[in-house]
Amino acid sequence: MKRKEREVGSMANQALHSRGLWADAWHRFKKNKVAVAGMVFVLILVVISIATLVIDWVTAGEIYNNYVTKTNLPMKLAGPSLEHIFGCDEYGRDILFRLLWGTRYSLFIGIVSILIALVGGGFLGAIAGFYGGKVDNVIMRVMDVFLSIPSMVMAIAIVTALGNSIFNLLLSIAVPQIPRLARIVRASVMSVRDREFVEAARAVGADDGLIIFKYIIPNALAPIIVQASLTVGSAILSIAGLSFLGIGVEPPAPEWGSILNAARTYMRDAWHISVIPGLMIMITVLSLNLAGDGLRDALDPKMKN
Amino acid sequence: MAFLDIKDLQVDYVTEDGVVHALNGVDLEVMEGETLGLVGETGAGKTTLAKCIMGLLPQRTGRIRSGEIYYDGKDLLKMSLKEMQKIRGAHIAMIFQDPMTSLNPVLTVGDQIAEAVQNHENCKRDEAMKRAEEMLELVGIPAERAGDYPHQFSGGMKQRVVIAIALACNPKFLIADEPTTALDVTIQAQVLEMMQDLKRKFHTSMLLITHDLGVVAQNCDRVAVIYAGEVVEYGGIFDVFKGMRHPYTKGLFSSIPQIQNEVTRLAPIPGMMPDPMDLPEGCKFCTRCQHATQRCREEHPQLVQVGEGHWARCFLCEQEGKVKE
Repeated sequence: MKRKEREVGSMANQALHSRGLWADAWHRFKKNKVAVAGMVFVLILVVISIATLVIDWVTAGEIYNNYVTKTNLPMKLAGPSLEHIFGCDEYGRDILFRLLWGTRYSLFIGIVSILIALVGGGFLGAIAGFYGGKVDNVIMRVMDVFLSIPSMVMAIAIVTALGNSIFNLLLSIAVPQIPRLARIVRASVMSVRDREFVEAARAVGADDGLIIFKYIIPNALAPIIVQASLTVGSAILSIAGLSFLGIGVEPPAPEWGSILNAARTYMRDAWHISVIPGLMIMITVLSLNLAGDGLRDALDPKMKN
Repeated sequence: MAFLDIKDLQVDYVTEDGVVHALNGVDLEVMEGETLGLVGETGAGKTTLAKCIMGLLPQRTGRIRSGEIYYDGKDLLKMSLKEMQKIRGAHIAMIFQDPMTSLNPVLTVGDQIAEAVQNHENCKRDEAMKRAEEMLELVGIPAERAGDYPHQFSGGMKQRVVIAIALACNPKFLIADEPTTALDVTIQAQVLEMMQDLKRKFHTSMLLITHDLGVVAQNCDRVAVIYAGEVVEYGGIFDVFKGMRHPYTKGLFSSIPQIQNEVTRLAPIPGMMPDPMDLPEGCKFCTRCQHATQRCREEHPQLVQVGEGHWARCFLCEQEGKVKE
């Protein structure tokens, strides 16, 4: 009994000492079951996206053409059945297939566009917050100009000006988010910048780069992560909005938002077409938020015990 | 020759409400291997002096009006940022006042010590980590705790970690800015004793900033009393403690209880320190001094030598010795 306790104790000790910041964060993250569930769901979506891409590549798009986009009018608006678990849409296409094949658009565009926004906004915000004064003023006033344009209008402007392509779509969703993220990064960098440990780091000869990356960003990360994970949700909704206007992902591609928008007309006759993609979007956004929330807690070492 | 020589240092803080005169012509020298105590009440400019030596004055508000700080024959105030970064930590290190806030909460203490080492020495991560563990042992913390985060340590242990970081690169000069103010008395004694040991071991010179005269008596070779940004008296520890000359120093000593005498009420110095935005023209202490004359209010006194290496800034001592130029 005693030996066992000692073993457990020494294991815990080893575990405490041999990990870095991220490994430590992962250890804490695991304890948060809800966050893990969110993360698992997001990972499942990632796997689905990759799997469908591989299937398309292996079968040369045969399944995509035959099951995802091919119209089958006899099954129009058919409700859920054993053959079509989630039923069929207004052209008789299986909704399950369309949802699976549509995962890649929402997830890829949502995550990548926010990463772009995070890099851009994070860089600008960190510079503005860290150096302050004139640099801060110039950057933030430019950001204010961008903020004054409604994000949907800016997205439409970017896509129509640059043309309709996946990259431009990413850009159109990322750019309106840059000033929002820049503001949050700036505020949280500023709150850390004047803390005493930053001064203490300077007093042992650390340079600006080290201070920004090891002292300020890790301490300023929590609100940024939460905001970014929330923004992924709104990015997915933006794609849906753009698809609705006909400048997002073009039909017949099975993007979730466009399925939902098409289903709007049939809401009274066929509830499943709007409810199921709607639920998918909702669960995805929720999972991202839960995972982001868990990540924030995990990155704070004070939550350890 | 003095190891660190501060000459006529004048520092202002430019704020929206006006210019705060934080330091008004401070002259100090620290000899090799000695501990100089810097005593003064809150707002006297002690921390400003420390930050000035480190080159860490707040960029937005701090302004050095005049003065030089010679370290090893070079003026620290004229150095570029790059040169200064090489000095900080490796040559001059600082122990901060509050251990609770001067450690990075998201890095393990081992990482933080290793970081200080890697700033100055071109070595691998493992070597730096090993050094960090040695430093921890040196300040009395088991090396196994290198992987712990600051919040897992008590206040006294955090201050030990802060000291370990400061000493990680064997600095020749250590500035301790009220290193024990945030600690309770027993831990305070332990930490001070440890600092003395380490100082002897590494042959470090030290500037010990405090407002605790007991701490000064126990740890310092010489002491400088600072008031409203000016050194009012300095000299050897015995000279100042046994034969203080400046009325302010006398006031400081009479406001601490003495174990031999039974008193019901201490005699504090009346009044407050003058507003640093609007300092009196003559002697800075004239508003609170019981000996103040018309001359004190109009003319600014110079430091007068009142004994071997013992100086006081008061007209009362004028007859006794030569005026410092």
